[in-house]
Amino acid sequence: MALLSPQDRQTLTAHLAPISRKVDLLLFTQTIGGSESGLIAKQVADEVASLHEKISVVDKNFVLDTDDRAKYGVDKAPALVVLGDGADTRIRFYGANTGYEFVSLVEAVLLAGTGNLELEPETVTAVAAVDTPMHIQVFSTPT
Amino acid sequence: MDLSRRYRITGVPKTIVNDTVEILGGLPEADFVDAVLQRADGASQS
Repeated sequence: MALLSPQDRQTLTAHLAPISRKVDLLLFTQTIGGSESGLIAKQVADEVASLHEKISVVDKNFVLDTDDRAKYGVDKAPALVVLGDGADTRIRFYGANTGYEFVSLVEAVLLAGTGNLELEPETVTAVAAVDTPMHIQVFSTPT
Repeated sequence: MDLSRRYRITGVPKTIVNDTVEILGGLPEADFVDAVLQRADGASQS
């Protein structure tokens, strides 16, 4: 059963219409012994990809695709790596993007597909001055 | 669950910067940037 209603699909399709660059969602899941949320993560990613022709889901095996795990720093599953025009946006989602986190995924895809930052100029300046690696983790719940 | 314990997640959203700085709740953009950048330099950690 589809997660999105026809009305939601229509709204989201319009929202994602500005996408002009290819967006790849690398989905790392573990079929055997993995989290049950992997199936939900797959369904969510597939439905988002169905909203725009430039969005694709690339399935990765968390156990077998060790080179890609290392390349993208994925240490748990399910994981979603967001690429924009083939480049790593460094945005990662762990777990299934349900509830409010569905919106986070949609906005990340829009950012990757347009390159348009909706940040204040002061923020862009401040972040551009960062010269050491920073790891920012945001914890949320699906409800 | 392990991550929740490791980072003492008792409410969400909770942001962890460089494994040390904790920001609880949502903040206005400017305040969030200040918290992430200034605290990450070690100025104020919870």
